[in-house]
Amino acid sequence: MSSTPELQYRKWLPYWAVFQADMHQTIHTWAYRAWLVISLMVLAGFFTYKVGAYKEAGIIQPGSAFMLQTMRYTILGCFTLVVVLTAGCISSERGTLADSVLSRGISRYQYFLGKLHARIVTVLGTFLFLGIATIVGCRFFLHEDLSLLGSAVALTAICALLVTVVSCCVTVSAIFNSTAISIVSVWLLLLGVTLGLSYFPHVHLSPEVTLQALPHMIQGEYDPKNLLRLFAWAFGISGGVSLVGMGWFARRDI
Amino acid sequence: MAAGQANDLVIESFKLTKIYQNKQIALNDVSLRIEPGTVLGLLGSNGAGKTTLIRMIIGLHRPSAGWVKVFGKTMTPNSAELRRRIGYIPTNPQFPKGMTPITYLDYMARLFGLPQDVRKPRLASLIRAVDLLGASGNLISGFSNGMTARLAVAASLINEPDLLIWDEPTHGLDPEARRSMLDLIKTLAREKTLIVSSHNLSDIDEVCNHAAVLSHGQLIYSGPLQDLKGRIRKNHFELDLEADQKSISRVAATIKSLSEFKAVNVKQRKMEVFLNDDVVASTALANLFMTLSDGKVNLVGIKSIGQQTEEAFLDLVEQEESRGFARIYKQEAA
Repeated sequence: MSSTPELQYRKWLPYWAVFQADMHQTIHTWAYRAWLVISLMVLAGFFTYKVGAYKEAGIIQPGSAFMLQTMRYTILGCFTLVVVLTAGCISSERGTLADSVLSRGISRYQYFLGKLHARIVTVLGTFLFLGIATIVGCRFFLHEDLSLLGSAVALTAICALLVTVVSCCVTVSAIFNSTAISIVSVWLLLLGVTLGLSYFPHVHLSPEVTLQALPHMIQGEYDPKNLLRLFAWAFGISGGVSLVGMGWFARRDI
Repeated sequence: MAAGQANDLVIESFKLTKIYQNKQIALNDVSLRIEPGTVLGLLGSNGAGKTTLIRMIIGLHRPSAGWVKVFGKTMTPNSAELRRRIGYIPTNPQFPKGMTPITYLDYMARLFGLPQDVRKPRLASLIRAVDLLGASGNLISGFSNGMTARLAVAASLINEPDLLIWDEPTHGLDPEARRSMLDLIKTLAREKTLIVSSHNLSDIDEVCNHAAVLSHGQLIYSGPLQDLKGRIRKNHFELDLEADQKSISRVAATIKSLSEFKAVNVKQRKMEVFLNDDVVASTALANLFMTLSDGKVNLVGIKSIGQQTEEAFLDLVEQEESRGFARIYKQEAA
């Protein structure tokens, strides 16, 4: 008689389960849909206006200018919705809903990482979709003065900033019980940091400095060293903040 | 709970204390030992600390002091491997939006790290077992209380746990669903260790063999349910009789004259008897039977009156309250 083989648990399956469930839930939230619909409507309206002016009136509409304007909108406008979308990802699931997940075979670390990565992938995925659609539109319908590589670099630079913001949001949502407090805290934090960084013009993580550099980046003029420094700062801060959030969440009562 | 080897214990807590933000003492110095095969009824009024104790056993809350071991290992928020052996139902379980029983149970099984070839057949069996086959593709948000309770049961069994912790499993259920739940607990009790928290003491009375009573965060009793019941005086009995009314009335008058009995009431063929506090119940009842026999009255049935567990619980809490400042010292019996 052969004995029943011992059950082999998949160690990272709980992480994937939370990752997939969170992505599924996120794209069904009103904040995500609002972000997507508003962005698409703004982009489509603005793009139609620019194409009309270029094709019908013959007024030159540089693709780089359009890209710059839409990216500015992304940084200033969409960050609001990104904060709303991500700052409540853990705090909104307190109580018995969190009980039903965290009382199973999942560690707090895996839960936090699953949530963090799901939100980063959702936000970056949506942003890149919108960004790439904009580049393709500019390439074919507007005056071709933008560099494809430069545009990709500009998108990546904004992605680095978005990763930092999302990491801060998820960490704050793991610390506070209330979604409203989380959102307000993230905004105060971001405004404070942005204000503080504005006094140091050479810190390239500053959104202001990145915005100033965007027109050049889009046209393919960028300094790889500065760019690397931006990525290093962004991922360093994201990693540090996430570690703090994960450590805090692993020790707190749910 | 009985002296077992520490290694064999399913749950062991020592001086478990929880103080929330230095504002509220939810649990105070709780030392508890639960052996395999125990069906423990966790009793206590609202705010007594039942849910806090359960949440600390599962690792959702961290103790302010003391510790809790599950299967011999200290439980922490990151003890995923320990929770793989626990099935938990919270009070009023909530479910993620947009899920059906199949997707929800699959999600729960994946949270335990169960591979696909194990979880798929298991969730299918459970959906059938809890009678949700017809609604397995429907959204959970449209389910009734009974259906969500059954789904929560299935979720708590998906990992085939050794320990089940159900926090008020009959809460909000209709009588039929409640009966099914109690029958299920009895079935599961044959091979698993269970902790059942409930306000309904008749449920505890029916399914549990051990009890733990919490009052204001303190454990005031932990042991066999029979011992808890034995703490109260059983001095109130009801008899079903068979004879003509005249004979019954005559016998009632005779019993009333006996020194062991405080009061006797007759309502048609039912007789209620109240024993004096200082008498031995068996002696008094023997005299009663003799009197019935002499009066040619046939005894059809006899039962002790009242929800015994409820009376015992209330009695225990009352005793604890009456101790005043002496509560700082633990009672020997508890």
